[in-house]
Amino acid sequence: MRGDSCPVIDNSLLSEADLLAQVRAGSKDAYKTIVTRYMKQAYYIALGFVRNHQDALDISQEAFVKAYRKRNSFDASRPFFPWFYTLLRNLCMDHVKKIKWRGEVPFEEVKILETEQEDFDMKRKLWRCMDSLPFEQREMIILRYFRELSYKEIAEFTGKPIGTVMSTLHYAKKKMKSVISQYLGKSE
Amino acid sequence: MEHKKIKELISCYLDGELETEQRRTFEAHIQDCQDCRRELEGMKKFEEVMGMLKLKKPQKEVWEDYWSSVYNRLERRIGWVLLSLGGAILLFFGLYKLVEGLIMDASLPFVLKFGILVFLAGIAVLFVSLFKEQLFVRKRERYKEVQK
Repeated sequence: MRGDSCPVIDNSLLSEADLLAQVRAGSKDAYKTIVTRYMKQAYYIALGFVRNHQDALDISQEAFVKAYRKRNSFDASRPFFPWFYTLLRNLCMDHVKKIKWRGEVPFEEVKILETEQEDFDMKRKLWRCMDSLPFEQREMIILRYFRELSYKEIAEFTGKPIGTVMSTLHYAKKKMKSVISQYLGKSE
Repeated sequence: MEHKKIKELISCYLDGELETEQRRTFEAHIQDCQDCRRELEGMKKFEEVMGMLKLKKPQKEVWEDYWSSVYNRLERRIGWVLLSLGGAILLFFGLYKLVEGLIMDASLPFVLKFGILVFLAGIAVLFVSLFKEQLFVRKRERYKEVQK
């Protein structure tokens, strides 16, 4: 009967709150929309922490699996990503504690300095410097520069007051600036 | 505002995160303070370089296959749960039959039956204890995730 057939609802048109309510009820289709919406964000944050493609992919996917298993503990009326970020962050933190930097520099090949060798050295030193920052400082650098979040959004993601975000970023930037200054000279 | 505090605000200024009043005070100080101006120039260069650095993009297929990998992991987890449940049922049934056979077998001496039963009871106690420990660890992990 044509008139009785159910209309097909395009999940991508639903609001996040509606989708999350469906996910809580066990809808994998709704979860697919959520995952597709945030997969890039999750992957790049993980890449900033764990430094290589395969680990970033693995950890970000594992975080989505974990989030689905814990779907009953999130409040569907609140945004998904800050809640999900806590799971992702903890997985990344565990990974970083276990696996030390093996020299990967996951930056796009954009030339900043004139000579190739200098350019490579600076990026490598920058990454090494970032890798040696305390976890919270590194987290702020990743969220600020590689996800381009505002201080307010960083505060929301990390659960820290804006004042703490400002000062943590200030100290992190100061350390990283000293690396860049070696190559650009003068300004330290 | 004191000089040291102004220095700390340089990165907030460049990130456009200062309130109007703070920004005015900052700009007025910068006009008069050569040290802070130098620091600001250095930080501008830093921001410029950081703005050029982008994380490597993966191949397009990664995004196309992303959901199916998450889905497979979800499905696999259900598979593991069912497998473990089935295994536990088979194990308990086998043990039950073993104990039943031992008790019913009149040819075995009492001491041997007693020894085997005590041995099995020991394994059961150890299993329950390990299971409880796992539950405890999992509970603590969950608390860790709630913390920010």
